Amino acid sequence: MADPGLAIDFALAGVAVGSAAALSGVGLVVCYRLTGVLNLAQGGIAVFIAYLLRELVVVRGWPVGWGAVLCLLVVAPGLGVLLQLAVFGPLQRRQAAIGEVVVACVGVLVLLIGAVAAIWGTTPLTDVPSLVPARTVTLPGGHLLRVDAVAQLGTVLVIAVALWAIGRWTGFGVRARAVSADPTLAELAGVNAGRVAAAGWAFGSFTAGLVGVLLAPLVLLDPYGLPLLVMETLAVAVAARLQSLPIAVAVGLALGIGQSELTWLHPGGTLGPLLDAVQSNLFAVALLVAALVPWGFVEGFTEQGLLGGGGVPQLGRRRGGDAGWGSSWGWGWATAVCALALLTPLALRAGGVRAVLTVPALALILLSVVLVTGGGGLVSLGQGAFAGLGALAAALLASGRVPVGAALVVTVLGLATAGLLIGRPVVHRRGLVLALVTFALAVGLSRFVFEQPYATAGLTVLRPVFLRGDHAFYAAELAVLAVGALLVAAVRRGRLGRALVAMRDHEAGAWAAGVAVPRVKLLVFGLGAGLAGAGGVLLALGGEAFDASVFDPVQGLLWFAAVVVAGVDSAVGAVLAAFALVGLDAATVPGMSAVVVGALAAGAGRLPGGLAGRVRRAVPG
Amino acid sequence: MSPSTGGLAAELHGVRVRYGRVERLHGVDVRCPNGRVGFLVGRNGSGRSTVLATLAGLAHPYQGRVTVAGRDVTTLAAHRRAALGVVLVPDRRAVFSTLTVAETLGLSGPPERAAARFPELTALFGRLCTDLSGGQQQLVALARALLAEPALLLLDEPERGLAPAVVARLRRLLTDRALAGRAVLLTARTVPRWAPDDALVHVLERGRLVWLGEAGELRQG
Amino acid sequence: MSGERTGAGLLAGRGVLRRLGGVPVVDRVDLAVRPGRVTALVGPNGAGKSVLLDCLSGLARPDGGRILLDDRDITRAPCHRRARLGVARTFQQVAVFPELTVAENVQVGAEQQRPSRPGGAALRARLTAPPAVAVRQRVAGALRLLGLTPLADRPAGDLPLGVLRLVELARALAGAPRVLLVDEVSVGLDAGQVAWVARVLALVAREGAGVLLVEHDLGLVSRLAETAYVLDGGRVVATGPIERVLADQRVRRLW
Repeated sequence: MADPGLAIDFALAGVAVGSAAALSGVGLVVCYRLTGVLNLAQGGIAVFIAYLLRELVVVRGWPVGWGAVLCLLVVAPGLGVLLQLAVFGPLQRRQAAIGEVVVACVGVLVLLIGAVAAIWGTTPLTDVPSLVPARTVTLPGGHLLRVDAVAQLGTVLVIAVALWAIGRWTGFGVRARAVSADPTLAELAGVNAGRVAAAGWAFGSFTAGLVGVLLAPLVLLDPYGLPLLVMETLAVAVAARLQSLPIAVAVGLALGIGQSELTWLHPGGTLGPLLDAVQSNLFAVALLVAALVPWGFVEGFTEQGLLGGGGVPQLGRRRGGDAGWGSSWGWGWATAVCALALLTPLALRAGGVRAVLTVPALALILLSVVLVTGGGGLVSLGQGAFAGLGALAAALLASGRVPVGAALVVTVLGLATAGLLIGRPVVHRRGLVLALVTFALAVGLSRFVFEQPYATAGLTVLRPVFLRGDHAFYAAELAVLAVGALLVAAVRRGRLGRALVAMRDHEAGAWAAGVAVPRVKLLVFGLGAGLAGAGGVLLALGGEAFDASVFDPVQGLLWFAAVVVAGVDSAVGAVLAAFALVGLDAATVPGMSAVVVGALAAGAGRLPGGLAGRVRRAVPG
Repeated sequence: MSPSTGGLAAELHGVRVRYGRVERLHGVDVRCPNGRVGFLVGRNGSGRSTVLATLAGLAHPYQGRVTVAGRDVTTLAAHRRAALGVVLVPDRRAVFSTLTVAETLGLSGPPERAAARFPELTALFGRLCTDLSGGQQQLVALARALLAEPALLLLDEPERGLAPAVVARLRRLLTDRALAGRAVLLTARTVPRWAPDDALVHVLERGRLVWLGEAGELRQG
Repeated sequence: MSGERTGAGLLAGRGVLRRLGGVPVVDRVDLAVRPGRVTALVGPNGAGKSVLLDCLSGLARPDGGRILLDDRDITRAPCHRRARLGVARTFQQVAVFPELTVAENVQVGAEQQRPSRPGGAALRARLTAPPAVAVRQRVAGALRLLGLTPLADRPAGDLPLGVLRLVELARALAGAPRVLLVDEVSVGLDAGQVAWVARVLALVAREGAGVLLVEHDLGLVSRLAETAYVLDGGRVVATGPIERVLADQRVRRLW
């Protein structure tokens, strides 16, 4: 067991993954420092470039070299420049709040993933080309060394050294560092910060594409798995606190090698499956840890608006004139349309109801985003995970033959409590850090609970007899949705609603007015968890199964983006968005809803108040 | 020196500027004639810094026009105005924390030229700006701005934190620049004693221009 | 003016120290806000006045020293708890909630006392209950006092800066504060509004509250305050009766 030679072999094996992760970290750090944006869309760019390369090489028969040149040196940087010109440049120019930037990133991510799914389908592919053939060389002492791993490691080191040299010795490098230190001051010194940002995006997209191309041969290539894998390497950049290139390289390599070494330990017994899960999801663990460790010590971090007062998102904020959150709530024609749309399926035949069974459940989950993000101003990317917990709890309880009403109540209360507990270390984070922490939670829950046989094997979800029929179940779903909507309405009209608006508008002012800000945030986070959990229960009961892929973190991002597009403070918008999400994929190809939502979310900066806001302005009263 | 020499380096025409929902400038006219030192005088919150930001392109008016050398630059970005010779030194955090002094100066010209003007900078070339004292940082910021040979130099309370000897040199430099036909505009709480009699003084109150005239007139009155 | 009872309503800082980036911006300041009086805090830009106010109101935690309310140590109490104990403040950069109406802005300040009903009733009260009579009265009173009643239902986001300062002040007063910390209230106000605010602040003090006035407008300061503290470079450089402090040569040099 304690053969040192074996340890070296495993270390060498881990270099391939480690250098890809290091590369990802370097790309994220450089892109962040030049643009001020954490590239959450990295996974989308990676999967798009990986599919494009496979299309060129496998389908069209190009040589790998030419395909790689076109994909990595032309398409990827071009995509980056396009992102700067079309999406992030305009946001930057009007100094958009961090929440809007997160939404735009999520939009680009979802758009690219949706495009891949719509163009190339969702079937996993195995025939992915490798940039460097996976040959091995035998080292003295009998150790095997993979040539591709060495090439990758060399690439990472060359890129890191080149970046350092450019920053130190070239005029462009000094200007870029000036932008990184203080964009406004750099503009005053005559530096075109937009051009520096475009370079940052070009480089970020190049590394994203390279990471995708490097990782794709190691996994099954499908539109959802690879992006999530790439997003888990956010851990590297987060551990480097978006500042330090050497730390990014070191952490990336350490995680890759550590993961490989862990396969070597292979204990049996009850802890075995858990440790296996840790091993195969080491990056998810690292992301969770790195995001949760306090960020406060990072010098200058607050000044960059990540944690500062400007960090509270101004999503969907309207001019005070047309009925804000605290005042009257438009129970107008839109609500009537919405109610009618929800009630219509009750008149349909059984098949018709079955098709929309997921709509009220999804609407509840989206409503929880309205409450937490629209109401509380907390950018939570983890509502899908709470829904997943709800579904899992319902499945467990139903397997134990607990009455369904009791199961729902227990689950919702349990989740609200879980929300309070999970929220405690989370809600005092703001802006980007809060988004990262909640996303990390979603990834962790998905990897360690939803996808693990020890948690989900052998679950049978059966509806109780009186809800067996689809019509009856749909009616029950509507009742639960109505309760949820009334809860949201009550919150926004009451004292809590005023406190929430106050907190969102001016946090220091709310503190000074006596609003117990931490408690209010926690309360709204807990309520949101309960709502999302109720939605999850209904999803599980509706499908009579627990399906882990429904609660994939990327799916959660899509839901978040859909709510923002529909109008983050609009309950009606959430219901209509649920219809749109279910309907678009059913009517066209899977992925279409992601394309539409992603495109709209990427442009959300030009659509204040979402679609609901636009409609509200167009139709007075 | 008569006001007619060389025309205007820059001008604000009836400018209204909003920060968020709050209007900071309620239709302000400001003129920066070539060959003269200008002052923006007023209390905190009177809009002095907003006028400078509007001239430099950091704030964009929703009404009114900004011209530089007769050209309409109302919508031009800050870095393009810098290229036209409009250079602003803000009142705090005016240096790049992660750049050395030499690199900072190098953004605007050869560092050695700045050292000729301020010899005390030479010893600091290799130091990071963040390691300097407040007064030294201010000196670096001013030296960089002067290195750009600006047509219009905008300074927000430039004397804060500077040693008296440096202040004296700075005042002489500014007066010399004006004599050389360039324009300078700085903010102050009151018109300082060193201001030349022909200095153009704008008095601002709560985002409005309440008095415009020469420093000499103010002294007689 | 017989509001001077020793101790009651007295907010005091003892050796308050606050560093930013290692540099002390408030350097061992002793200061007392007496009930029934207006106390002025003056000094040049960057003297540390606003940071000191943050330490007193709880938005910033001092790195040294203590904050006392009624001789009770509140140094570790968060801002919202201090507000509920009666320490209200306004901000140099006016802090209103633009999405709420003027009346709702004031209501937020009035309704933060914890509901006394236990358990579920308290939760329901927090979620849905209409404002209690006492809250409504306090809101109406504060609006009337600052002449905002005609604007009560206007969204705050549509109003000019001067009016927003009044809204902020009304919100602070609606919480029935025992100590009121006012930061640069005259900025953005016209002469009539300044006179009105001066009358209101004098009235607040006359009714027994302590007022700390941070102000650049020395005319307003000398009209209202009895005592003054002069802050420069984070230290108190002069203190005492207002006439004496403002006549001090060292102080005059700061302007």
